[in-house]
Amino acid sequence: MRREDEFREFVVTAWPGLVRLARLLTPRADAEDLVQAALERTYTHWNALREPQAATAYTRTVLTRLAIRASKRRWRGEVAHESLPESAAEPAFDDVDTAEAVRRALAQLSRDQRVVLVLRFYGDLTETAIADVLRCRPGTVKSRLHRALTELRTRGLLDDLQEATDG
Amino acid sequence: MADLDPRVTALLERAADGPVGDPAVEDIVRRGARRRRLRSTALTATAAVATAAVVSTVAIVATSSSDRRSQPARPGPSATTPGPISTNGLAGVTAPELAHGTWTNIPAAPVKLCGQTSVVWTGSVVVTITGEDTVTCASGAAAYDPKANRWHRLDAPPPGINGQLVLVSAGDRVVAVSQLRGTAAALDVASGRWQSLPSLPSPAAQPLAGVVATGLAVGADVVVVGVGKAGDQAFRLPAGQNTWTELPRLPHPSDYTVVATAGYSAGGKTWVAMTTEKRHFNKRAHTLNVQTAYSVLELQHDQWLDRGHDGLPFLVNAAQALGPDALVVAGGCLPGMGCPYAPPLILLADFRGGSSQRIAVSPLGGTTHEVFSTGAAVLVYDASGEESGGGVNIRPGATAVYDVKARRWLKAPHSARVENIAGEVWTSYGFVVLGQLRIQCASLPGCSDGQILRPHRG
Repeated sequence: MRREDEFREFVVTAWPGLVRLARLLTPRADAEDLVQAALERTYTHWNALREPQAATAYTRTVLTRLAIRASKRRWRGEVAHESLPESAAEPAFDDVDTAEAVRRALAQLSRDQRVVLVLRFYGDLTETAIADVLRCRPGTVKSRLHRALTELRTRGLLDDLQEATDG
Repeated sequence: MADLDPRVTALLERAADGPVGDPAVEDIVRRGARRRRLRSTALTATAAVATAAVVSTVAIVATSSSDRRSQPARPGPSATTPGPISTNGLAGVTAPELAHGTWTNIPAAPVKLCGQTSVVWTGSVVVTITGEDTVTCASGAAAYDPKANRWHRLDAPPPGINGQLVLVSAGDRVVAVSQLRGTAAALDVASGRWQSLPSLPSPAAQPLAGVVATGLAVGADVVVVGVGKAGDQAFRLPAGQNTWTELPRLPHPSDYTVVATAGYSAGGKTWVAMTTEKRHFNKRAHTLNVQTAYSVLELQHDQWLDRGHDGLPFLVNAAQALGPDALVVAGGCLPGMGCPYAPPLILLADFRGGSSQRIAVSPLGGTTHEVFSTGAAVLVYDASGEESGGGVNIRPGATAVYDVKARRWLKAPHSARVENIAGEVWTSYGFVVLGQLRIQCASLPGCSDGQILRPHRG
């Protein structure tokens, strides 16, 4: 298989999971842009990342760092549109309320807390692995995680979810 | 922790869930290959990239947007910062000059500034109209000459020309339109005499932001843009004439309502930046969700061209030209809008290149901002004094300056005099703030004071 073909296959396979991860890492609406930017960087190092697992881990790390950098930088580019934005479809409120509540809660966590929470519980990374991604000490990850969970608990989200999932 | 893990994971999975579009694989490969080539020539490219201006950097980011795969190709972005526009008399004033400027008091106006005060710079004087036409707050008008640092009284405006006004200086007259009533009059600046104009038609329904939201001079013509639930309207008052002609309605989705509009005309271009919104009530959470979008329209041959828009929550407060084909738009977010940035939001839009850049201003909070551009710098002024996203109360009068070339914010001196803002204007001598809105002001001395921020020169 050609090098580009391998990469194409990787993109198609990894894309949904990366987009979902990006949605949690950044409260903004540019998750797909971030994933695309991360994959472009993955492509440049594709020779060294032939193993899918290594490529996935690398892309996740790049994605995380891009999300952090983007939130620090507080600006982003955009393309002018030719057509007016689509009207928002009326959401089925009951279906999206919990997800909305979680997204709002995530958005209110600090950037660092949000990232460690997502990487730990959604990305299923160990605290040591998270420390590698964030270039910080495991103890820092642990304390951020603790504060993030406390924040969620304070907001009653954990109980709400239990009710929602039970119901 | 063990029993917590699956619950938190389930929470996050639910939040992450939702439809995912297909990846733009070919774009990623093409751009990845380009990125690899650039890396290999990074040493030689670095210098060029570093000297590229804001718009070129933005364009690189902009082209990574997933949206562009469904968009027709646009002309390439400009590689240089647009040149300054000189209509405000301060072209080329730099950010450090503003940041190191000084606020000084100006003499008290010959009329009591009370209620709403509106100001406009004519090129030689700041025309100031104040009052509410009540016993305690009579309507009045005066002109301040910053060169002579002196006021002179003007005739009081005709009935109906007070309160919230849109003032436009065009040719040798200043046109005043009541934002809420649509009543209009023209002031001959040389003689200080008023002439009544036909009122603008009121919308059938109660408007959200008044009959007239903004006005701008297009050459010697005046264009006003109105908003309301009955539909947004635009009218032109040709130079030397006293009748309004209707322009085509502003295009926007029919289920969105226009809530804020700002306009600017310079260098042969006329833009209107407007915010539209759609509201829906979340029955379960008992919250009102406000969905907003902003659009930028260009007026050409009495037609509105859509020059860009986005769905990001963004309530437009002000717009000014940054250079040819470029606009700086400032706004903020209101509670419930789910704004992802700290307000105010600044948009530097390069329409020639089809790209734009958003900047959030961290030094300031509040939701109402004025923006002034010199081409090299953008001065942002918080007029609301409202609580910022971080829970910090911002005193109105906070000012920050964005250095367009250096792409950084500088703190500017806080106007110590002003408690609440009634009018702001660029003059060729600085940035003038006049009047106060606070009710208590009516019984306090010094309510007719104003301040001027003069840039530090060399």
